[in-house]
Parts: sequence; C-alpha cells; structure tokens
Amino acid sequence: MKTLLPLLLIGVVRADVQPELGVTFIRQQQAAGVVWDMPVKPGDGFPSAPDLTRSGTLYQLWSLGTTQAEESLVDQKLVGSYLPAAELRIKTLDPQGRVPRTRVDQPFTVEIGINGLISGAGLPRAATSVLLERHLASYPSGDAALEPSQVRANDPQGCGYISSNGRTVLRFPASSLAAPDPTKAFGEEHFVIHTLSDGSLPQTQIASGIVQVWPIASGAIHGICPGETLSGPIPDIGLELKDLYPRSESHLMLFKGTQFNGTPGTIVKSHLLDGETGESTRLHITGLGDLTATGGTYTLALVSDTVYGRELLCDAVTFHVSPAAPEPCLTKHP
Amino acid sequence: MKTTLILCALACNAFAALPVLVRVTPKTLADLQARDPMIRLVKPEEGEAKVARPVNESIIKESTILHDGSHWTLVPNDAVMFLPESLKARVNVRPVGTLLPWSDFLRKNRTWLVTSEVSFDEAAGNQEIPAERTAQWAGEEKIVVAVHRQGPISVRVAKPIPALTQR
Repeated sequence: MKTLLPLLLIGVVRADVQPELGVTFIRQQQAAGVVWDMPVKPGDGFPSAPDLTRSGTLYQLWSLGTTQAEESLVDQKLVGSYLPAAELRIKTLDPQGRVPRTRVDQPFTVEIGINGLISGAGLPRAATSVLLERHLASYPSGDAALEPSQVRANDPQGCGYISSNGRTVLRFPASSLAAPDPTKAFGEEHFVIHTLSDGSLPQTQIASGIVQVWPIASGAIHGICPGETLSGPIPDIGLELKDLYPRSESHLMLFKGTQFNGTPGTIVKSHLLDGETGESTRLHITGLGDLTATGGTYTLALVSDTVYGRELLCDAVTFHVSPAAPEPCLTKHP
Repeated sequence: MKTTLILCALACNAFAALPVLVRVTPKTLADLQARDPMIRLVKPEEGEAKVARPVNESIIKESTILHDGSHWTLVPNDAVMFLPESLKARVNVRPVGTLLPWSDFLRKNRTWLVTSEVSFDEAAGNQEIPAERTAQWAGEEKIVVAVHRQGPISVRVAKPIPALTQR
C-alpha cells in the first residue's frame, strides 16, 4: 500500500493535469509533524515510505507551473495503520475519456470498498463509520477544468454514513448537476470518503473519485420550414450543432415520406467529432435538390450518434417538393 | 460535387436505419435526478460530522523557497538546517524565474547547496543529530538541506536528553 499510493497519485497527474503545469511534488505529512517531499518523477522508481504512524499520514499531490507560481492540489489521501481504508471507483456507460465521463441524463455507478471499520456497542462514530460526500460543480464558461480542492472546499450537495465493511454500490440514474436548462449542465461530480475526526487529524480524506458530466447536444435546421412546399430550386440548408458529445458523429438525414424512426434514410452530411472535448459548430449544405428530384414528401432529421445511441438534435422537418417540370427540348440550329 | 454527394448518400444508406432515441426533456431529467441513491444513507446530525476542507491550501506558503537568480525550488519548512549569513538572500524570496524539481535545482547549485541525510527518527526529533555532523556544516559556506532518501524533509529539533550526574 505504501508503495502503491505514490503510483496511484502519479497516475492521477498523468490523467488530469494539463501539460503546462510542469513540476509535481508528492508531499507526505506525518501526524508527528514531519513533512517529507518524496523524490519521485513519473516513470522512475519509488522509494518506500517511512513507516506510517498510528495517527496517519497525509499524502498530497501538488502540481506547480514552471514559469508562474501557480499551484494546484491535485489529490490527497490519508492512510494509517489504524484508519479505515477505502477505495472508490466510478463507472459510466462511456468507456472513453481520461477521467470517467458521462452525460447529464445518463446513469453511472459509484462503487465503494471499505475495510477496517469496527462494529460494536458504545464505540465512537469515527471507529464505526466513514462519511461519503457528493460535491457538484459546473465548469466556468469556456473552461473544462476545475481545481479538485476548490470543488471539495464547498459544502457537499449530499452526504451520508457508510457503516459496513465490504462493497457498497450506489447507482445514480442521472447526474444532479444543475443549470438554467438542466439538459445543458456541464461540470463535475466529486465523491469523497472521509474518516470522521477524532480530534487529532487535520485532514480526513481517504478516497475520492471524479466523474465529468457533459450536456445533451442540440441543434437546428435552417433554410426549410416544417410543412413548406418547394416548387423551385431547393435552397441551401444551414445546420447548427450545439454541445456535441466527445467522440460522436452527427448526420443530416433525408427520409422519403414523414417517417424517420426505423426507416432507411439517406445521409446528406456527416460531421465527425473525434476528440476528447465537446464542440459546437455550423454547417452549410448544398445540392439537396439532387436527392429530391423525383418530388413528393421528405423529412430531414438532424441526429447524433454517441455511445448512448442515435438521438435527434432538434425536431425533424417535413417538407414537400413539387416534381420538376421537364426541361424544354433544345433544338440545335445549324 | 453533386456526384460525390449522391455516391456518399447511397453508400451511407445501408447503416442509416438505426432507431432514433427520444431526446430527454428537463422534466424527464428531473424525474431521474429524484431517484438519488444517497437518500438511503444515514445522514449526520447537525454538527456531528466535522470534515476538514482544503480551503486556500498552498504548498508554496508551507515551504521554504530556494533560488539561484534564475531558477527556484521549494523544500518543506524546517528542512534548511544550516544557513550561512552570506547566503541568506537565496532563501525565502518571492518565487521568480523557472521552477525546477528539487533534484534538478540541487544539481545546478552544488557550489553553494548541499544535503545531509537524516533518519526518520532524527527528522521526528526522537533522536539527536550527531554534533560532529553539525559542526562540519559551520566550516563550509553552504546551505545544508536535510534529506531522507534524497527527498527534502523537515527536521524537528530533538529535545535535549537530561545530562546524567554522577554522585
């Protein structure tokens, strides 16, 4: 465990810290008052830590900018020989992402493993229970990163005791992150397990996990109105795609008739988002007249394919096209 | 352009019949959020669960800064065990320049910076640092930083052991 912990902390650095934050420090604080900066570099071997004291040892992972004195407490964990131990893992339906990633309407699971709790009458709460806290934080506009220490410094959205050793699984049907339009919530949920203070420890966090929450994509089709009958040239189409989910592919699809669900359609335009961040964009479509030359009723649907399935980004647009008049026969005069 | 569009459309036709899911509305989302599994957990009573929160923590504020004019690094407070008068300007100034990891900073500044390996008991103040070692520092015009397995470590001053008197 003593050797594993620095490895876990370094793993967090590699996953979360932006490359420009160049120097990392793992600081170990013993309750006895000794502070030690562990001489570690990612990829190097790790020295074994001094023996843990009975009161516990706090490991902190700091990341500092090389040119500006910007500092970030990336993670911290308290371990000790008599303290309860905890592991926390968050599972989502999206296997991709540097940290667990979900969408605001999608379920996720928090799996917690506890050992070292004691049961019996008359024992203090600190010996029989650990405290689980849930913190919610929205991303500031234009940014998709938060300081974990800042998020966890606020009062939690919810909390409760876990009083049994072994595995506890909490299944969340959706994120509780709030926003003026709840479908557009964008931020993080942090789950933190604390030992309860017995009056001697300055820090109590023993395990934590983060899930990144993305908004639901939306869109708009401009250029053709629902129910419109087109008799002349088909106009160009403008598409608006908002909050596209990472690693998604969006399509403008054309269907003959009014049905689009389960009906084979024609992909008019595709937009691939092959990255780890979301995106909003606009697209311009020309040449729709070639696909509607036979005339009749058509439906345009703007959809996005994500790990959660294919979903409409906006209401489908049904329109009518009058059959094109035969082109006049041109006679070539000598 | 038109030919390409038509060919692309025909090629894509085969996989275009996936079911289209209904977009979640705010009302549906609110119903999902109401099924919060944490409501099953026992809640702390008022003032019962006092959790220490990392408010305004700073490793810089809790450290001693060393600098050489163009680079700087940090070590835990109380890790500098010997500071000659002539080198006081290199300690605890506002960090400017490029931050280096401790090992890199030490390598660049060995002319005025040295380390002294201490045991964990010496760092904790349970055991005194031998006097001959501290006497040696005074002879060198160098800053001495306590390290444990090459990592800087704070050193608490050991309580003096009461001298035994012979009757």
